[in-house]
Amino acid sequence: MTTINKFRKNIWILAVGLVLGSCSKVNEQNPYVNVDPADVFKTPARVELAAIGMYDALQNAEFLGGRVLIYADQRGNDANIASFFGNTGSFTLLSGDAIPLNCWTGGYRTIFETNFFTKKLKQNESVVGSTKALQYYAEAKFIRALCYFYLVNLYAQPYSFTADASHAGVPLILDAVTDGQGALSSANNVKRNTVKEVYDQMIADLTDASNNLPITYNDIYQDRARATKAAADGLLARVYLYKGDWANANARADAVIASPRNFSLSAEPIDVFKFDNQTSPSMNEKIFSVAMNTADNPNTNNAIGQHYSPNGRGDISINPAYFNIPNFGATDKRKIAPMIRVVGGASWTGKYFNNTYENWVPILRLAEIKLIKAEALARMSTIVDPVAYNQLLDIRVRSNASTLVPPTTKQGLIDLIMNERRIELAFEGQGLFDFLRTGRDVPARLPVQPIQTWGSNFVVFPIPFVDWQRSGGVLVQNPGY
Amino acid sequence: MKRMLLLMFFSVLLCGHLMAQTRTIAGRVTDAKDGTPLPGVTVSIKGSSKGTITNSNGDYRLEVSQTGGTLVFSYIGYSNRELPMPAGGHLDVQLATDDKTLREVVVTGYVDIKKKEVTSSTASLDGGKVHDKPIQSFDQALKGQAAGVNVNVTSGILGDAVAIRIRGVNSISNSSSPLIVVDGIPLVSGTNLTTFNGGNGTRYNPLADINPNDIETIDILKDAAAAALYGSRAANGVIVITTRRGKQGTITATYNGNFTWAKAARLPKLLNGDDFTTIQNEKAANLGLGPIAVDYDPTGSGKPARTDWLKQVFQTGFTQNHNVSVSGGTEKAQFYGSMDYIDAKGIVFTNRLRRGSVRLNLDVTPKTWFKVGVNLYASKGLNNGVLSDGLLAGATVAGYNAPPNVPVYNTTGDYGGFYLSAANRDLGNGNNVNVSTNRLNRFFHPLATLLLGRNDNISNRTSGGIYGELSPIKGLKITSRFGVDFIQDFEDQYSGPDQAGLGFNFNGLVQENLVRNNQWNWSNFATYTRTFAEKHTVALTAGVEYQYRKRIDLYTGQGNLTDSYFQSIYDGLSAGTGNTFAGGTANADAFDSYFGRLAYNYKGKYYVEGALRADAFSGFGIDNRRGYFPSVSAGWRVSEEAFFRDHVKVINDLKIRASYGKVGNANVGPYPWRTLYGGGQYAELNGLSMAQIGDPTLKWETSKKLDIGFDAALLRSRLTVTFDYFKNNVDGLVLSAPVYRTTGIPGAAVITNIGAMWNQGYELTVTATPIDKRGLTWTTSANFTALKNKVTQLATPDDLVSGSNRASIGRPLGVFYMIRWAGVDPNTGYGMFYAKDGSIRRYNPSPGLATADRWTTQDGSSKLPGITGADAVYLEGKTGYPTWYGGWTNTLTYKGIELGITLQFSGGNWLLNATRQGLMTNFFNNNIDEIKSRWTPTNKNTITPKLVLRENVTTQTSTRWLEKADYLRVQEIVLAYTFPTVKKMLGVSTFRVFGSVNNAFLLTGYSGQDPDINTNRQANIAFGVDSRGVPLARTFVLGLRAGF
Repeated sequence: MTTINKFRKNIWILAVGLVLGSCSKVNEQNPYVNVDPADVFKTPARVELAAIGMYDALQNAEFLGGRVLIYADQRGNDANIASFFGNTGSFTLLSGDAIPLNCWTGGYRTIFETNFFTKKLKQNESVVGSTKALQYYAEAKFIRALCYFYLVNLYAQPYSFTADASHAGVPLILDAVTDGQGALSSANNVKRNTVKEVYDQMIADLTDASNNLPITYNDIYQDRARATKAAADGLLARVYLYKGDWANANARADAVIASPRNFSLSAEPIDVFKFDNQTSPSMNEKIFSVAMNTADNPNTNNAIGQHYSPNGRGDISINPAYFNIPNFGATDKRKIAPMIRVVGGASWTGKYFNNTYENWVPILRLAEIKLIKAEALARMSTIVDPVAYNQLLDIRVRSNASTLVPPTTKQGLIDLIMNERRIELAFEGQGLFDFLRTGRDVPARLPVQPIQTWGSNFVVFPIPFVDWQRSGGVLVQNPGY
Repeated sequence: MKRMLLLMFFSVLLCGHLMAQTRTIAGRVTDAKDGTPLPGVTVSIKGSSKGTITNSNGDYRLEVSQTGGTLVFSYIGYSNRELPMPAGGHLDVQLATDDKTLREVVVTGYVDIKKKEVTSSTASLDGGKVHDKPIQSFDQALKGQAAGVNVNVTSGILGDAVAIRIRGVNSISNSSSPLIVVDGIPLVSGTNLTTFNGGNGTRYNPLADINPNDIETIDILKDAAAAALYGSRAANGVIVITTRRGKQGTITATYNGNFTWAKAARLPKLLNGDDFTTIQNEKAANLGLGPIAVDYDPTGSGKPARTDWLKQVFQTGFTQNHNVSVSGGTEKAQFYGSMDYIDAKGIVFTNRLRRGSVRLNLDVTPKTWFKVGVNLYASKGLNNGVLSDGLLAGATVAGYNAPPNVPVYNTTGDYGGFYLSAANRDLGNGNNVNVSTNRLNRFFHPLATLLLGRNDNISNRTSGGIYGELSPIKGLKITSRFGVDFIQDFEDQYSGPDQAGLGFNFNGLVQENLVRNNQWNWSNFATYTRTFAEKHTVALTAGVEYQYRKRIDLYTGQGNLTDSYFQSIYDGLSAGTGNTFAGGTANADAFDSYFGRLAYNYKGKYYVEGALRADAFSGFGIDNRRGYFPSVSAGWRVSEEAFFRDHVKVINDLKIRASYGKVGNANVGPYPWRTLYGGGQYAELNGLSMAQIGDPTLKWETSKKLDIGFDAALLRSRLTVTFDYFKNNVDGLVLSAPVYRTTGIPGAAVITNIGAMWNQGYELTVTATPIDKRGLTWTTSANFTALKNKVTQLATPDDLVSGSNRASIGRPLGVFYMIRWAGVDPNTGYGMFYAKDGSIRRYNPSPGLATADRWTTQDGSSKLPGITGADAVYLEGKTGYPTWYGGWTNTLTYKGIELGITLQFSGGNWLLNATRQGLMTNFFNNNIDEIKSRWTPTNKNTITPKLVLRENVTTQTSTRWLEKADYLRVQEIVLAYTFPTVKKMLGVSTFRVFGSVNNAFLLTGYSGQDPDINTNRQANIAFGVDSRGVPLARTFVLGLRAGF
């Protein structure tokens, strides 16, 4: 019995030991693939990574990963209506549809990234020093302005819709929430700013960006994939053009043309779109694109090339009306391979034909800047502006376009420029906007889509149903939805 | 089992004290039915702790010191027999099988509670319910077996997840699947561990790793008192599985195997080529276009191509399953070992699942006060999966959509012989016109998808446990149990260069994902049981438990493979940049827990029990990690009261019980409370971007569960009734609360604790033996559950929206919210909807009309605004969740012949038939036969509007596609025969053959393939959507079981 007693005693010691000698790992768990923001804004190298993260957010698959460009062209007249995008192309969207919701969500997701980064950097500015911080703020502002450009043009009527652009634009979100309770706060129920306010913000952001962004990162990849002074000036030129501020549009276009980066039209119109050329010094037309590689968009449903190329999903073919644009001759390089591909009885743009998963999303290139300058000058002038005409001819000569009959009136030149924009910039995300900002109706694509008269309700996206419904009237719906 | 061992232990202890004045009783114990000797039967003297066990011939010898006592013969699975000690020295005994006594204890993982002492709500199932069934995982066989347990077999794809809901859905954003515990070790949660294709490719349900034949018992813990010892993880109930263990006595070996043939029970009726052409061209004509569907005759045979794609995609599945087990032991050591192999070919062409497993369970009692045991289990599975619903290339989606007027094969032999387009390897278009404009989605070649690629996963599961039990003093038992569960799943996907999509774009692409999931669990607990003054029985349990889990994913991919001969990633057999992929992720979480239970009963009449568990989980905010989960329960055995016993003869046992307690749900993922940066790579540049916005105050979601019920046995236990009323109040619901999209945070939602809801209902189980005469027995058991749910609080007054379903305050979870279809205007054939105010608006789909001119009153007289999302309404009371369900099992036996029929039913729920919606499309696409009822000038009274190509207003999601999902299913008909004589000839102890039909018959008004199909498998809100899921199979099984 003594052994049993001894044993009993040991058992109790053992049992107590088991209970007290904790093996708990509960308080040791840290994420493996994530890091706390407080740890990010501690070193200059990590701040740089977070700055690049804003471009990662810019690749949002529902927004500037390519989709937002597609929506603008689905509602223009150059692409066929693709059933993949539901009611977008037929101008029959419903407020509850996924596309206006996802697009809206994607745009504001990118904007949040820039605001969050800016807020955290302001709190920790000493980590990188104020000079470097200015560049980062400028990058954030460029990206934010770029998002607002597409949001305001898709969800609101154009600048000229009311005399002082006092009609509803989109909410301007210039600050970021930092935790869950902040995100759930009712302070986030915000009204739409006017179109003028949105344009003013874009202009202020881009002006500031132009002042503080580097001319070059001394790295050809970053010079084209990251915000630069020329990119800010170029986007600012476009914003002024959309606003109808011709003088400033012209001035900013000039700033790009005069950039020490010496942008030049590439030899062939296809060159700027070739994936292999993205870092080629011999092609120097590209000003800014949303860079992509296969790791960014390894799936089938969102890459811009997947939608446009018959090698991929092949959703969007070219509307025959595109080939009937005046002065779009048969020898024009933009009308034949490799710029146009004929597959399976349909025509497809060659801009995204190869590398369907990794095509960069084109935002700004010199050809557009020259056309902005041409249009701004043409509209400012009382006569047929010769400088404007020459900018136009530069574009046409590069593509071996047919010889133009020189215009005899100011309006004749403007018409030529507007047609040239369609030919040159097709499928790069301005198809719809060029009609709306110039007060023109969107032509029909029968039998599905009748003509959309300028200023009519359905030329703009609906405000997404979920946000509208929840806001209790704070967020005003577009008429007709 | 455990009782028997304990008895053994006492008999050994006491043998030293035997008196010399004894006599010996000996005899043989045999099976009453067929006379086979029964080894391992416990023979004991009533009122003493003395006893013995029969040997391999069923013989026993017992020395007794007295006369006039009673001998008790007990054997698991058989009725106890109590016989007076014979005057002489010989007594032969026959024991009869008895299902009722099979389960005398309820296993809760930490403590085994005698059934008659249970004061909580549990259901216990014999392992036989999951043996010899045409299933890949045991959970599939739980359908209709227990009250309160609803099992939804979601599709006919092999290895697919099963949705188990105990007493309804008890969470909104968290998992609603119960905790599953095997031999005391919690299993890794998750019902599909595959990652590629969003889990719609190959499937890996980790529950399928458990060999169903190894299961001895399944205990389902439903209320708080039963589940309280699992505290933070018990909100959805607990399923406790005990695997088979060796029994003392002779060694027995069993083989059981079956062969199964399976066919899709119901397939959609698609248009044939001729009807297809007529319908598509009518759609085009109504839009003012010429024909779009044009015959194609590639071989010049004069006959246009006609293809029934369903015949290409579906096949008769064939499965074989073999299982061998051996078990036995001596008084000091017992073992159970098994191996099984299953090779299942599914109803979808190329779908095949192979799995083998081995198990060894060992129990050793080296000392009377010390017992130790080991469980070892290893399995390997190979699943040749198929892409299915949710993917255009999926076998069902592609097969349903494909035009039937193009051929399967080309005439040139290119692309593996399949008829594919040169441009992107989609299905070729034949002579059809303007397909890319008129189709809704691209067409994949259903067979090319299945045959030119590979969607495999290889799973390796190793789990094991060791336990030690010390019994230092009478009534005290100290247990330490350590278990590990290791899962490795290797997903292996190959897309051939002629496979549309990734394969074609990357000139052949291999993608691999390796998951390694490691979990260990260590629990230490002590139980002390003692009866004082022969009246007061106290049982005390206290313990501590730790758990840690880590998962690592490693991903790689390679495109541009040298040749389609090489279908894996090999050195030097690929080229180029931009087509090599690598990635991975990792996460971990941990629990620590303290728990205790105190049970008291007075004279086996009054029972009171309390339990408390304190859990800390690493996934919660630092200040909210620990949660406390108490419960109380009480029972009153009325039948022990003299007044009852003397006056109510018909009821021989009656217990009334009630319980109340709090349990939690920690299934929130590893780091939900934190605000975090994550990978933010921008093309070629490294970056960090926001990954999530977290709520640092996040804590458990808790369920307060009330249960009141009774267990009654009538007519000498020939009829038993169990009834329970339950109410479960869930609060602090963890919600992925949506925020204004303009805040722009990742995922547009924050995981937070706001929300409350309740489930209440009742369950009834009736088991009876109406006939037991002259060898004919009829046993029957029916269970029925009815329940209601209501959401009472959400993050904001706004609904949570998921598809067409919502969580809305004051309404049941998952209530449907959609616009209402008002039918077809007979005069024009135009579709009509109800506006919010109930007025009818008609939609004119005629070509060229401006949007503003399309919507009018029914008579067309005045223009109206279009129907929009704002016209949607709540369909009050309509959700995807059944409000009543149950099962009815019948077994008839006569002289070795056994006929079993199991019915299973469910209803009160609605299904969005998105399969039908998709196949009634006005785009260029194949349709179902229903479309032939479309409006034409000569067929005006119809439910199908005039067909206009690409018109998608009338086909949008609306009540047009919502259908009642009530059904009654003949789940199983089984006919078996146990040979009484052959087994002697063959030297076997049992020999049983059986044939069964599963999913034999379905009675339902649902027009789709099966009302059980649910393509939103683990959704809590958007439950109840059938979107081209793979139909369920009807199976025919032949099998046998032989014991040696």
